[in-house]
Amino acid sequence: MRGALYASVFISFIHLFFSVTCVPQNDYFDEELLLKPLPSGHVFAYFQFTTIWDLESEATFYQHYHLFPRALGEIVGWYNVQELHISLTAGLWRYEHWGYPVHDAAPGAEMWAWFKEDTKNVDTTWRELAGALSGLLCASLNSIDASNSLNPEFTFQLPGRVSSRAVNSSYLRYATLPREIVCTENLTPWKKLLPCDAKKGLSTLLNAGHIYNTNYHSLGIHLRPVCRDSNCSQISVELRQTLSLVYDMVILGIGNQDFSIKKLFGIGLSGACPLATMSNIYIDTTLNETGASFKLSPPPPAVIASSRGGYESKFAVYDVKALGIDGMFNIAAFYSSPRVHGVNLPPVLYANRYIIGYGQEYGGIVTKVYNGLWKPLDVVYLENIPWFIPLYLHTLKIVANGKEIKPLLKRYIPGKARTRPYYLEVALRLPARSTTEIYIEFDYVFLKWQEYPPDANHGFYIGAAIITALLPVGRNYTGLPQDGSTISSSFNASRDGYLVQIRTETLIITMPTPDFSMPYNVICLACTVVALAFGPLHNMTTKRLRLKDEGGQNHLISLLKSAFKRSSEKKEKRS
Amino acid sequence: MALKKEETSDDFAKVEDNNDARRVYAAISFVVVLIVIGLPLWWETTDVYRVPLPYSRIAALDSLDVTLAMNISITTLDAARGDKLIEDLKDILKTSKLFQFTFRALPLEKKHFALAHSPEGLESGSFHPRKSGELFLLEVPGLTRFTPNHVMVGLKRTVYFSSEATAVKLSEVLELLLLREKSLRQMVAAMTTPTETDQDRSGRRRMPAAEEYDIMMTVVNPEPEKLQIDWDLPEAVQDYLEPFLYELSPLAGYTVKSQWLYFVTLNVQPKLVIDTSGFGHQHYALAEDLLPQIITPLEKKLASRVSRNPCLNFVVYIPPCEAAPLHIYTRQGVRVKGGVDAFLSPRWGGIVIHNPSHMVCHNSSVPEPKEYSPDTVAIMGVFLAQLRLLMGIPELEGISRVGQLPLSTVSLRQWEFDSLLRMRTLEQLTSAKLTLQSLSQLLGKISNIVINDAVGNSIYQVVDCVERAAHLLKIGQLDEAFNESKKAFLSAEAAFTDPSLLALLYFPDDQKYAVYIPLFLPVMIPVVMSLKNICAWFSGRMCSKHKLKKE
Repeated sequence: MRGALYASVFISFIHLFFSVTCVPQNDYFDEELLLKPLPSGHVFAYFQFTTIWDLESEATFYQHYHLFPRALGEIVGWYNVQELHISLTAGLWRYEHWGYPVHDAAPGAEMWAWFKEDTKNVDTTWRELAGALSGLLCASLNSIDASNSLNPEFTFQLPGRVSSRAVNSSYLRYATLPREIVCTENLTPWKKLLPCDAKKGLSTLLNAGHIYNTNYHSLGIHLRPVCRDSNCSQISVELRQTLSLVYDMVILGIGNQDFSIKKLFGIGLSGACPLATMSNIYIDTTLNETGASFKLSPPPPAVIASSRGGYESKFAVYDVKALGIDGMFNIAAFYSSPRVHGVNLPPVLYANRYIIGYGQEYGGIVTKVYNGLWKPLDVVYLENIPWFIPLYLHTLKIVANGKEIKPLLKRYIPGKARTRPYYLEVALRLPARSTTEIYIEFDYVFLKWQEYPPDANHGFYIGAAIITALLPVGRNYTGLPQDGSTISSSFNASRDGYLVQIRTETLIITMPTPDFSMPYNVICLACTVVALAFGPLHNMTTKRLRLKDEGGQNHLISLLKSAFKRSSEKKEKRS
Repeated sequence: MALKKEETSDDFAKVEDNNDARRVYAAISFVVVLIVIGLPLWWETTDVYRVPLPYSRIAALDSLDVTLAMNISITTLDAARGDKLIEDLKDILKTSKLFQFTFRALPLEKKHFALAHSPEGLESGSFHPRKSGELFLLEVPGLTRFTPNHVMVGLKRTVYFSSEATAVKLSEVLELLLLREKSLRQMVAAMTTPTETDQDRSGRRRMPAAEEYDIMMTVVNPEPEKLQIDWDLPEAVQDYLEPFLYELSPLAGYTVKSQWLYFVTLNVQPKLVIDTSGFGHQHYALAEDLLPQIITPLEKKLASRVSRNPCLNFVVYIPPCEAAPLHIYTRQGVRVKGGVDAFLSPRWGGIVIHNPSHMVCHNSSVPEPKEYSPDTVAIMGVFLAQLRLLMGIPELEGISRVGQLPLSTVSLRQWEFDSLLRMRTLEQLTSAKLTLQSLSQLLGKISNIVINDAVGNSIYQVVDCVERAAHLLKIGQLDEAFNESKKAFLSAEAAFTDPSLLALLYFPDDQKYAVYIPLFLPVMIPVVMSLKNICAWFSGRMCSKHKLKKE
């Protein structure tokens, strides 16, 4: 087995060497797929397409493209972006049952970017960048502007930092659109950014019909500068296009838990992308030892044992390039017994949250953070509340295991109607083995009639909170290390800490919603009242009341009286 | 009632009169508040904001006299021949409607012939006009030593002619090569009346005026698993395109970008042709009619999402070995002349089909992917030629016994640049003028268009610049005239496409009235009716005063 591993590593080195020598281009493309059966019986599929571009000098930045997508590169270059992360997600990642994903993403659309330090007007640039990306990805990112964007001070400091100098968070913008619905119109443009499009390689497996029947799917674009060498004298640009999928095998599998590439994606694999330096499929076989065991067919050419943060895991590795595929290729996992779920060991840190309160007057948000670790854990909690939900900072209460605790750090910028959201960032030390409740109250307010979205009675979304922590153990952890770009770099990558950025549930609240025909009614009613009031007033002030002679008046009244009499007489006669 | 019957006393009549007056004053105050103050206030607050525009000056642009002053100096061996030539040229060229010629005979100087060992030697002389738009006609007695032609057009602003050259020949050179008056006039006519006149060939081909152009180089490799292209595209761009673009840079800005596309196919099926001649056994034929179909599938990969500049696309298509060599065939069923498989799409760009060499494709000892380095000179040469045409430097028709010095170190002749400058100046002037006129027409038709101060200012600027440019052209300051016309063109475009123009476009009048009528009608009717009472009262008072006076 070990021999086979060495062989595959050697082969991929050859590939690397080969492409370096004969292509004058300075970018590399890797495609990888990770399949991980989860203890809950779900299967987690994670695609990652990595493009690394060694840029020579600042002057030719984003001018001559080879494998890097020009559509994205032009936008990034034009708007002076240093680092960009976008995720478009449907469904909620269940940390408690599924462990940690490779990339955390909030439900809906989430986007954050660091701008270069010579950017003049960050707010305008951010709005225009969101507009351009909205066109690129067919998502409603164009509704992002300063009124729903934050620049958090602590949460997004870590990824993609190449310089050690202090960073100024005024060049950072973060926004979420929790209401965004993700579908195939986002997948198609996302696939077009790949050098092989959807014509060759692992991307041929991405068929909308089999992706959008999953429990959770998340498209991601992650662009960041990375160091080319250890002392960081030269910078490369790394673009990771990611797709996370969680399949429910109870629905997909007919009576059994078996999964295969064909079952998950609808078709087999026809080969690697010829432009890719590396094209690998990894299958996590760790559960084989503890839970229900399965056999892989064809048997893997190599198995990698990875020890990370004190936890051992095993991966079956298929190098698609070395397989020499002729026709369609399929990898299947056959379980020895039908439907046996492994013991679910929840991850050390997870959270959930909900709304409390009653009526449409007082509301509160409670976020429960669970720390299963044997020692205290420092976390940063970022709350992102839209401007139309006023928070009351004095009601912020943090209770851990029934005892109130003081936050280590607190950053709060109150929102301002129509210009900026409420920003609350709290650093906490969670006690060992604790459940911490973060509680804050808010108010319901009336909006202007034009500010209600279409279908206002559906409710208003509050974006996910982010809980950032550096975990000391690697249990349930699948994320990539800071210094790595590919999935393969996460094997045996023990580090001091493992960064997780847990996203909580998004919340939906019902705001007082008016009847929308009201404005016109008000105009008409007010006008009528004014007109009715004006008439008599005008008459009284400008006209003289003059009595007419009695005869005429009597005549009229008598006429009326006689008519009345006649009708009553008729009635009497009938009865 | 009882009171009323007793009201015969003078006292009571006075009170009643007073009351009457009070009522009328009340009515007057209603009129004043609602009609005198209210109506203008309403009008003022709901009026569409519009800066007063110079409509008369815009209308006057139509009859703006655009003539270009041309200073031409002539030097001949014999002063009498020079004068005669000038007389003849003046006579021939006096029909010109666009140009105002000023001829000047310059005395012959030694410096003219110190270097006259070869045409290239003449080129390095110091006598060439420096100012753009000027021309110098120089008689070179021994011109026939170097060339069979009577007239040679240099790389700078000088035309050399032999002693045999006649005034007719020189005027022909001036008209057809250097000034191109016909083409200029056709361009202006096509712009003003697009339904009646069409642009000429070069006009249809060249890009419309813009502040900056994007130039996009694309290499298409449909099967990278079989053929690997080894080509340093950025370097090729730097070596071949950038010098030319630098020479053109006074006209507009340029951004060059490049990209590689894989797995993009032509979407057309070339025909297999078995040929017996040559060392190749077969090739593929692409009919000329199918060429437009090639561009469409490429288009979606070529657009830019951020740049607003017009883009020139240059595409190198490298067919895979199985489909190579691929050649373009004309409608008549023969291969395109010159053996260059390239074509130009007007106002879009050019495509070159570059076949991998036979040696690479049929060498079975090399495993796939095969490596191939394209011929940079061949590809970039075609692109440069196409770029010249797209930027508006026309292919010149030949005149018998007239030659041009070949391009060597420079890729743009100075007189070509001048001619381009003239063309762009006229184009921009006409365009700015037309834009302003259609804007003023639009403003007359649609009353909801807002003209804010910024737009108003740029409209004023356009008018100023157009007038100034026309004046500068008349006095022969081509460079400055171009700059003014560019300013006018850009301001006009900015004013016309300013988003603030549309701010109120979707607020139609009927909606306005639907909101106002429920309020205004019931309020206004009694007020207007009370006007009658006021008038009656006033006339009544006048009468009684008259009566009093008479009494």
